[in-house]
Amino acid sequence: MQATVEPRINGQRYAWIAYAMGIACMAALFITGLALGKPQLTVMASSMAVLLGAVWASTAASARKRSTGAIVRQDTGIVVAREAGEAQPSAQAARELLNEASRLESAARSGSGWPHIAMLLGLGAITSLSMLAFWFVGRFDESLVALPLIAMLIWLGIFMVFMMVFGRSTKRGFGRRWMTFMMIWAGLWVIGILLASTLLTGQLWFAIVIATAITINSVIGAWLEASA
Amino acid sequence: MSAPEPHEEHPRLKLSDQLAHPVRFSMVAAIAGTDESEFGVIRDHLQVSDSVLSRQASQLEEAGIVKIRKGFVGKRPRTWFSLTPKGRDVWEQHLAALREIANGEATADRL
Repeated sequence: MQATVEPRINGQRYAWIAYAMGIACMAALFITGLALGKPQLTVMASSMAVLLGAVWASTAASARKRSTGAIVRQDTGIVVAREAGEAQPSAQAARELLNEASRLESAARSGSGWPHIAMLLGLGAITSLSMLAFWFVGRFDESLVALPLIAMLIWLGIFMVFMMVFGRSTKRGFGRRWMTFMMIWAGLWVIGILLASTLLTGQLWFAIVIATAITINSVIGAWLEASA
Repeated sequence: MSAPEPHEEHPRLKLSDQLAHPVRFSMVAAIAGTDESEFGVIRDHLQVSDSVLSRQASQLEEAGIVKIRKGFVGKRPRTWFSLTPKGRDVWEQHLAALREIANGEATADRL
C-alpha cells in the first residue's frame, strides 16, 4: 500500500509548487500591469490567478477525498465477502452490511464531483472577469476586444475537456442542479452582453453587477455540488 | 366481521436475492450515491476484475436493477452504470430489511 501512496503524495507536492509558482507569476504580472498602467495586463493576470486558485482548491479537495476513499477500499469487500451466501444474515452481519453500504456509497460519491466543481468555479471566474475585461477594453482600446474573448474561450475549452475526460461519475441529483445553475448562468451572460453592447455601453456599475451575479451563482453551484 | 391481520413476514424475506451476492451488493451500494458512474470507477472501488464486474453488471441489468449505457469519450469506449427506478426501490427495500434485522436483535437484547 505504501508503494502506491507515496508517488501520489510526491505528485501532489509538485502540483502545489506549480500552482504556487503560477499564482506568484500572475501576482508579479498584475503589479507590473499596475506600474505600467496597462489594464489588459492586470485583467489577464488577475483572471489567471483566480482560475489557478480555483483549480488548486478543487484539486486539493479531490485529493483529500480520494485518499479517504483509498482507506475505505482496503477493508471493503472483506466483510461483504464474509457474508456471501448467507441467506439469513444475523443482526451483526446486517449491521456490517449496512456499514459497508454506507461507506461505499459515500466513497463513490466523494470522489465524483471535482471536474464539475472545477467547471462551475472556472466558468464563473472566466465569464465574470471577462465582463470586467470587456469594460476595460471598451474604455481604453476597443480593437483589443478579441483578446479577452479568445482567452475566455480557450479556458472554457480547457475546463470542458477536463470535465468530459475526468468526470467519470456524477453525484446523485447532479443533472437537476447542473441544469439549474447553467440556465441561470446563461441568462446572466446573455443579459450582460446584450445590455452592455446596446443600452448600457460603458457602464461600469452594470459590468460589476453582472460579474457579481455570475460569481455568486457559480460559487453557490460549486458549493452545493461539493456538499452533495 | 373484520378480516384477520396478516402475519407480519420476517424481514429476511424482504431481502432481494439479486443483492445477496457480495459483488452485486457492493456494486449497487457504490452506484446508489451517484446519478451515473463509469465502469472503471466502480471496478476500482470494488477492487474486482473487469470480467467479474461485467458479469455481475449484466445480471443486474437483466434483473432490471441497473441500467448500462455505452458511449465514447474521444475515441475511447466507456461504459456507465446507473440505478433504474425499480433498482433504487429494490435497494431501499433491501436496506430497510437489513435495518429491521439489525434493530430487531438489538431490541431483543434490551428486552
